[in-house]
Amino acid sequence: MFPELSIERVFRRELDSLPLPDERLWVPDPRATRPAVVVVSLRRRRT
Amino acid sequence: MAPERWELLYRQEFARVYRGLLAVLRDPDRALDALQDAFAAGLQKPPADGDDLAGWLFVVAVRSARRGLRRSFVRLDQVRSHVSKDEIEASLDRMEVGRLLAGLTERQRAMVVAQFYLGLDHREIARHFGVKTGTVSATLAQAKARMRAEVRNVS
Repeated sequence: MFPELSIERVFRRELDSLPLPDERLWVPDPRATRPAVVVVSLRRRRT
Repeated sequence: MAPERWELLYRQEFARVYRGLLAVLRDPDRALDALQDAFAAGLQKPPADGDDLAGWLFVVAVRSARRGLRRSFVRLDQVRSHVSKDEIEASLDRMEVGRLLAGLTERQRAMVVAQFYLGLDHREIARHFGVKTGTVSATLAQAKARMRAEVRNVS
């Protein structure tokens, strides 16, 4: 398939050039909590 | 495993696993979400000692991406602050490997990347994906045949 190089080397050479996200995003930040869920309770009024 | 130890190991493997996920998913947000899901899964139940960590993270992330789980830890504006899906797809389309992978199913891509980029053998891929070794061999054989056909079409 790739006569001059082993396929593993081609994969490494090409995929290693893909960009990485900002390092601050690597580990999820548990302080950034999910948006608060607003719970609305509806009461049935007796008519 | 202490959380600090797990975070250190995760950081060591992040770049390789993330790039492998980009090649499979072709979407930076999905790749990041899925990998962070795998990090969270490892915090709750770390892989066994001696397990290939990159392979473990990769497969847990691929499964998470398939389920379409959305992480809740990172705000959307942060997620959107890195490279776009279009840029990643354009980069992959410029690569020989990217073009070959594009013709495969997501499952085939995952196994091809696990073998040729992460260096897992058939037995390890089977164990991580929870399938028989024969299934891995058959899936990889189909993927390689399709990639060979693609090379022949181009040349």
